[in-house]
Amino acid sequence: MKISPANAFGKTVFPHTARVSADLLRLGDSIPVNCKITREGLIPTLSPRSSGGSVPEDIKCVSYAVGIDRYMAFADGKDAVSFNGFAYSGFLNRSARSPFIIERRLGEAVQTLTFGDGSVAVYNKDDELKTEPYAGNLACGAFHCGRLFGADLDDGYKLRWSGEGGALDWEEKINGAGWVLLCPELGEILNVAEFGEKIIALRRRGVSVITAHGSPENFKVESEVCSYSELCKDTVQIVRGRLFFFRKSGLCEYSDGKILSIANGLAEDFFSPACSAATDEYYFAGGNSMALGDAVFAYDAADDCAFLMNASAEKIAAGRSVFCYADGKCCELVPDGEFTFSCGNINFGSHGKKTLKSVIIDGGGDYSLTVTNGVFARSFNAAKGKTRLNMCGRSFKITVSGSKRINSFTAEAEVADDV
Amino acid sequence: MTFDIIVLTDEELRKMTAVQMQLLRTAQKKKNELKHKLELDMDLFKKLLLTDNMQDSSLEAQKRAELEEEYLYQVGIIAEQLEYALEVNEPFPDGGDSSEDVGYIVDYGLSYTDRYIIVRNYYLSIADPAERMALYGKDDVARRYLGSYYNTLYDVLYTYSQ
Repeated sequence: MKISPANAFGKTVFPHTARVSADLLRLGDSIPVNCKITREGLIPTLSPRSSGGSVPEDIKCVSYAVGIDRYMAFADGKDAVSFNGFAYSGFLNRSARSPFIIERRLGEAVQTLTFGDGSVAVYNKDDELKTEPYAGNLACGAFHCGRLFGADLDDGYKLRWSGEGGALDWEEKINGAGWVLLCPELGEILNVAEFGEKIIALRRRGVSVITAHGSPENFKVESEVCSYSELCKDTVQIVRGRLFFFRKSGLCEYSDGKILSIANGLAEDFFSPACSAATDEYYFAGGNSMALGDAVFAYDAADDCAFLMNASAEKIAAGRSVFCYADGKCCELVPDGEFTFSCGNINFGSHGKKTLKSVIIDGGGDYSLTVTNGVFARSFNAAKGKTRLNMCGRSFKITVSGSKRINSFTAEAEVADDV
Repeated sequence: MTFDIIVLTDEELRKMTAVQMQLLRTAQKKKNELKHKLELDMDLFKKLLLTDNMQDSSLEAQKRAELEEEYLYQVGIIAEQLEYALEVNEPFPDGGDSSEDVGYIVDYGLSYTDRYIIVRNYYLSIADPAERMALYGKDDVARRYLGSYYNTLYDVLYTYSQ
């Protein structure tokens, strides 16, 4: 039997404790899944929902064509089109070592161009498809000032541009098509994007910025910005006027001639991004998460917060809806799903033993709550308001699931002074 | 001076009159000036490419091709004009009196006014003012053909050359 210490008067003396409260939404190392943490609290966002339909197995590229309201893809050696994003019909067998899809406007008409080896498939709003010969030999491209700019398929350091006639004009002359070799130190070109009035070439170890107005005599390699960490291919997107991309060290942004790392709690968790897409609000990237395995990373460019979705994505298309494709399957990211939020290990600022007294959820619904001290766990199915725990331990991990917004999520513990 | 504006043998060069040599020298000078300007333009363009970090690009070769195309076009015009002018001034091979064969109509039946207009129009068709004055100064046929109008026309041509 344990005997409590007694004072001079024979009374039991308990160690001095303090009540400590922690805001569980503001801890580092937390993993928000299908929800985002903003100043207003925890807000459910998008969650994956499996779609049926006929999705090609080996999608090389996919894109939503705004002007013609179709999802376009190159997969299994064919061009494919979908009206809804999850049922594709394929046609036109072609070869394409590095296909890419771009929209162009010709007067009032809008066309989608899918570039392959030696030919480009032109698809218009009347669902007419034709192929035209194409001599550009590009691995990726972007339109700028009426010309198509892109990385040469056979020489990764060569940036090519088309003639004044547009994407199909590759006759080399002073006012026509041409190329420039970028400095080798930054590595080969991974992607090309139009950003404001510039062409941005994302390279293995940095970014080259090219000004390309009017005739090629006026083109200029304006600056070259080195990155200490390698950039990831196919992750560049523009959201709300900001250019985002991934490098091995995490999400970053190109702004005012600099590469800026975007601090977010998922930098240690999410890795190997291999594809990306963007809506007006979110930047998406498909990759892996230490916590979830296959995952889609999302960044809200307005609220500057990141979250994950437990979906597998080898390619993502963002149009009327957002679709993630992997291994011949497709899932749609839809609102009003269920979220899970796991806060990181919390020790209330003390290494010693403490008692987790309660968890308080201020939200509009019932939630599933799981609390563990590393030895055992307790779960509550319909937690809301104050949930009393009285769980002892040195640190705790708390996970909440639900579908309604949470305004605040706090925990209280009694912590003995570390003397 | 090396003559490569048109193809000429040494024999043909030796047989040229003073007027023909003047025409040849003027044309060659223009060609050399065009070539020099092309190289200056290319040097300037290369410097601009360096400034814009575009030195390793297709632009230098494309610009040279554009400038050379224009250069060859201009040289072609000069060569064609030279060949025509040389043909008009070619002396008779038997050394006979070729003094009437001057490129404009010599008809002593015309009035002096008509003769003046014909010779004036001929010399005003020569673009280079220095060449025009040099040829007119050596034109003995014009002296006989125009009589006292020769000096009048000289003054007029001189005015045009200023």
